[in-house]
Amino acid sequence: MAKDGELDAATREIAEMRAVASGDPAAFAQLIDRESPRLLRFAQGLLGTLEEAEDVVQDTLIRLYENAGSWEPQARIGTWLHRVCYNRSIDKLRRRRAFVEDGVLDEMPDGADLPDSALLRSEAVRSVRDAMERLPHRQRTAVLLFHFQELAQREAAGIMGISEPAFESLLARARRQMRTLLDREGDGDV
Amino acid sequence: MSELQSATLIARLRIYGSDLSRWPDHQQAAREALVAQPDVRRAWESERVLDRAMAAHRDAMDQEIARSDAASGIRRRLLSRIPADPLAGIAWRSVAAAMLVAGMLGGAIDLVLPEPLESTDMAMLDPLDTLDDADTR
Repeated sequence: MAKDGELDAATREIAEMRAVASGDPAAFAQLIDRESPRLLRFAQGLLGTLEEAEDVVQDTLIRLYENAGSWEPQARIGTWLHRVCYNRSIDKLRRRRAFVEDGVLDEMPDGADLPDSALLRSEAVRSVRDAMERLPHRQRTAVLLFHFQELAQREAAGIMGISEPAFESLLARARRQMRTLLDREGDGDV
Repeated sequence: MSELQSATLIARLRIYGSDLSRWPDHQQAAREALVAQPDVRRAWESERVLDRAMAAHRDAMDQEIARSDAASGIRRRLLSRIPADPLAGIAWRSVAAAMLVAGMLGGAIDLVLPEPLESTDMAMLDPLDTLDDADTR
């Protein structure tokens, strides 16, 4: 039954991509409306700013449009978009710290100079946001993909280009560090 | 329930959080039963606090995105970049299928209808001849 559902979804997505490839603006608009808010959340979580997230998501959707004509349903559209969005975000993070070797990036805490948002004033929310920004970017990506984007572990691991056990390990370390950071900040009442 | 099962379950809680439906394996009934154990229950509640805090952060991000112009800006910019195609949106497959069906129907009708038994001769009257006859009368 689930497989039938997956087949239906794949068939729908093939038709959707054909419509986009044919230059149908309504089909592309529908796809943008459906995918962009979710991708913006993911990119903002990775990069820390909505402005940069907007650039990355726009580039990601352009890539999808360019690839629509040769679309092969090897992955769901959402998964493919997350992978491209992730790679583009990593490129941006690397450019932001051009003086840091790539291998060191994972160990660096991100988001030291992120602007405050009026909507993130709540103490609890701000604590979580701060804790997430202190996570190394791969741990943060694991949390974002699994808990924020609600992707399955296999899908999330595929997006990051790592094995499922490696993803599980990242997620475990991320949650442990989040708990530690939140406990340290307050009395543990997040 | 053995101590090992309880320890394994707590370890899984630490990795995947309190929402048991998100765990990658499919043993929810067993997990729900285990959550009734006090030590597992404590670990589950502790992870639920973290999960709720993350959910609140996610909701705040979504609200910020919804209030911003980000999504509509992306839509506007991307749609202005794609070339306008006046024929886009026409379901060419449907059009081709309709033409094929019409052709087949025409052929079928031609086969089903009987041939005329004898050919009908048509007399062409030359209107000028008729006029001439009238004039001469």
